Amino acid sequence: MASKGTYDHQQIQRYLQKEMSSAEMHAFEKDMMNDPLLADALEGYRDSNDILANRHLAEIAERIKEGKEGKEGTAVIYKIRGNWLRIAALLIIISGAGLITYNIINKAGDQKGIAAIDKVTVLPVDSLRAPDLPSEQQELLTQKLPANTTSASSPLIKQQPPAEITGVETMPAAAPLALKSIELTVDSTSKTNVDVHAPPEGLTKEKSATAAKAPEKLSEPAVTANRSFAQPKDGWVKLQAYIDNEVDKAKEKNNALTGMNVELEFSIDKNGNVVDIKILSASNNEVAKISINILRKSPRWTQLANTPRAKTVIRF
Amino acid sequence: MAILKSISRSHLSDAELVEIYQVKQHQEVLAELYLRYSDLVYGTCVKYLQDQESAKDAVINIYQELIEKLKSHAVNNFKSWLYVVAKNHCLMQLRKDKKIHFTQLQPGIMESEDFSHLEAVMEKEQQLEQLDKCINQLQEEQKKTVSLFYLDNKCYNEISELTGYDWNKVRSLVQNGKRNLKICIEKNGI
Repeated sequence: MASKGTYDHQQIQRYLQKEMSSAEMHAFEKDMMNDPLLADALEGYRDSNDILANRHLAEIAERIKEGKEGKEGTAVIYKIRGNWLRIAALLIIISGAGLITYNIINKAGDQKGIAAIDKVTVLPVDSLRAPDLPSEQQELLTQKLPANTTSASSPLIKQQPPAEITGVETMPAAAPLALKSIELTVDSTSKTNVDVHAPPEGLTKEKSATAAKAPEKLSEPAVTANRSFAQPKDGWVKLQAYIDNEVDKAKEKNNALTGMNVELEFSIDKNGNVVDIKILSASNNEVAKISINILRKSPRWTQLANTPRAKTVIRF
Repeated sequence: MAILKSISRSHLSDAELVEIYQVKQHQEVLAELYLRYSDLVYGTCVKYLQDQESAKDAVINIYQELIEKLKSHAVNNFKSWLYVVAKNHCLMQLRKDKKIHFTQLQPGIMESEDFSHLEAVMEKEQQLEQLDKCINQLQEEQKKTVSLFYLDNKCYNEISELTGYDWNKVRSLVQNGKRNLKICIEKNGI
């Protein structure tokens, strides 16, 4: 009966060197007849260098054994390194983006000065309550603004606030007012608040007459007696600068947007993000989409409890 | 008795290891299986590639091929299938390097074990007479070497010494004679 089995390099070398017995050789040859792999291997080894073959076979065995263990380890190392690289790249990108944004905002603040009121306009609401504010402020806050009101014609601007209201001062009509606010929709069950912004730093009543030149920087509102206001986390100035920048970019891409208006309604979630944006009116779909995008990506707002819906108009 | 290589790692057969690998796809199972024949694969690659360094690389590359191929191929006889894969790999390598046209082997053809049937037949006493007739029909050189090999159990070296033929010629005569015997036996319905 023919013997079946596997032969390794050592056995083949014994055969080639005639170190096998005749019987062993005979069995080897019979197996070889039925085994083309053995037959070809014999021919290969017959013409090869035995020492080199031994070295190669040891290396092959080592690499194949390592392949099942070392490969996974290597993959893990590369994965860890890859993750660190990704994290580092992300940090660099975020830092770069932050730096660029900071520069843009500062530049916008320097160059544009007081943001034009025609970019963000206050909408009138029917009733506004701010029970914690002094009566003079209440009166201010409840003033209605006609539609498409610009800063120059705003009744709020023309009024002189009471001296005891810290930080709330008006600007002369000639100078564009850094007055902007987001009015909250009226809801009999909700608390509505209006945030009134302070004029530029350093401007007092006495200086108001000379305020024809746009101030370089705008300060954030100081009237926040009622802490349940909704306001941008980084301040109105930065919000306005952001909106200005986005509107300008959009108009650069498409000049036809100039003169268009979009009225939006939105909410602020617990993380201060603008959510649930709804278009109330828009000149066309494109400008509506751009406005939604601008608002969605706007800087975060301060967190409030039970924040009602807010409205705004973005003018291009 | 031929000295068989001891399978120290596992008592499982090739078919069992193939099945385990195809189910679990653990590389250590394939490594175990491949290392049983890696020496033979290396020798085969040396034969075709005519270079030991290239053969070493080819053995590793063939293993890498098997990792994926064995997952999806239905393999009845792993050793025969491995031979086909290895040879095809070497031929492809030669074709790429030297632009030599070869016809690839088909695994299905190579997996058959026709010659083992012949040996089983030869060992049956009642068919010896017919076998004897077939042997007598062989040409003289083939008849002499086949008789010495199968009937006298001589190895190639001994036959070489007895006949004066060199080792390669003895091997060739025995293989050709065996094939002719098979044809004769099959023709006579044995």
